[in-house]
Amino acid sequence: MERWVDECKLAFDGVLQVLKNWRYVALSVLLFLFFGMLLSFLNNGSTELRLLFSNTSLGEKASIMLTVLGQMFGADGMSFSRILTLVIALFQALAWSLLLFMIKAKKKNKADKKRRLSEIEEAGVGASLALLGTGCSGCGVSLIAPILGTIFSSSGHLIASITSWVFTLAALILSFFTVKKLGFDGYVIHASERRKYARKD
Amino acid sequence: MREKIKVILFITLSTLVVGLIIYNASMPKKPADFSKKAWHEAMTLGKADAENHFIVYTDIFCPYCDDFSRAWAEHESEFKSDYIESGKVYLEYRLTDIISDHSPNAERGGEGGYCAATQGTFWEYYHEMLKKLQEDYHSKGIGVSKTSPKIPELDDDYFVEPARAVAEYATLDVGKFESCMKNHEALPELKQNTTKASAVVNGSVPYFVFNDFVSSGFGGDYATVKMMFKAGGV
Repeated sequence: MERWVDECKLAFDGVLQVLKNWRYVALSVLLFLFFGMLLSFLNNGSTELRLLFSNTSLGEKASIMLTVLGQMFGADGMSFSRILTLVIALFQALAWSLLLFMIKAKKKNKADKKRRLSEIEEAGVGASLALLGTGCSGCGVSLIAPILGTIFSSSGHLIASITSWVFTLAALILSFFTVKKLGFDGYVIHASERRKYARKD
Repeated sequence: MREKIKVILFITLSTLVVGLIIYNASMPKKPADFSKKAWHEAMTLGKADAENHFIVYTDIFCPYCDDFSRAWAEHESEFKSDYIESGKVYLEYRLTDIISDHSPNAERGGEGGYCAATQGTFWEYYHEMLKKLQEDYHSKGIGVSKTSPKIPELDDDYFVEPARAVAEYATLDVGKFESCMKNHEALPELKQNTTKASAVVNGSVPYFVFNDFVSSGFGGDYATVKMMFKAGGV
């Protein structure tokens, strides 16, 4: 347990080290907004998304995006569901930024390529689980509700409610562990680079 | 072995997500047997021969359905003038208890709506009920989302109170309403319409059929309502 906590602390340090580069901060912010808005759009059902691609004017489309952005940050009231969305979006943003850092920083040998691919898969699985978990299954509005409704008829949306929670929890846990692993790798890279420069001096 | 499992999981989930997004994007379609005849005349606004027949599938205890209804009710005079009185839209609400699996009050709420409709006061009762739910629960963050605290099971008097409020300014016989609720007179029609609605909405409410603009869910305001009507061709 103590070792795990230490690894988390080092991972956090690793994340901070990566974010000292403004490029990764900018990337993280963009990815955070992208994931957050995507999850928020899907949480609201299909109306806002369909309006975005309908005959609405450019100004109206911008207004829809701003409304969803505001909702993401609780403009119409913060809820546990919104907080979960923000946390998952943050973990996803950090995971993909850290992944890019790893790909650039590490030597391109076969073992590293294999490891990077594995981490991409983990981050991708986390993102997919997050998307599957979105929506208000309680009112039958979720990505997975229509297909479960087709299979399970009237109890479909109740099953969707349970499964969406399972997916959301799984997304949260997987995303956290992906960030922890990548953050720890980031810490190791920075530590070895500091030692390299110290030796040169 | 672990790597192979990760690859399979990644490909499977990505395919599932992309497939579901495509499925959902193409899903809300006007059903082939879509009927233009109103299910209950009292749950309509405007003239039946208006240019456009817009339909809203709803449940009184669905928070997003309530958000949609409140959005236009707060701009009622503008809404009615622009869409209803102008003859552009015949708006029909198809009231169901489709979320009764999640809410112990959905059925009684639906019965209340239908009992008021038999006396021609559906809209007055519906808006009084929404006002009451907003004051007692929604404004306090109760019953507003899948993760918020749920509205507890309500007693029968909760559903009669809005009828009493309506009776003060409209012609509604409260005794007749109470009898309708007590004897579940509206229940068969509610259940029949919920079954019919389930085949269309697949568990998703609010569900909108505004000509070719078919969608579910609502998270906006009156500006969003106007955009939806515009997308529906008005």
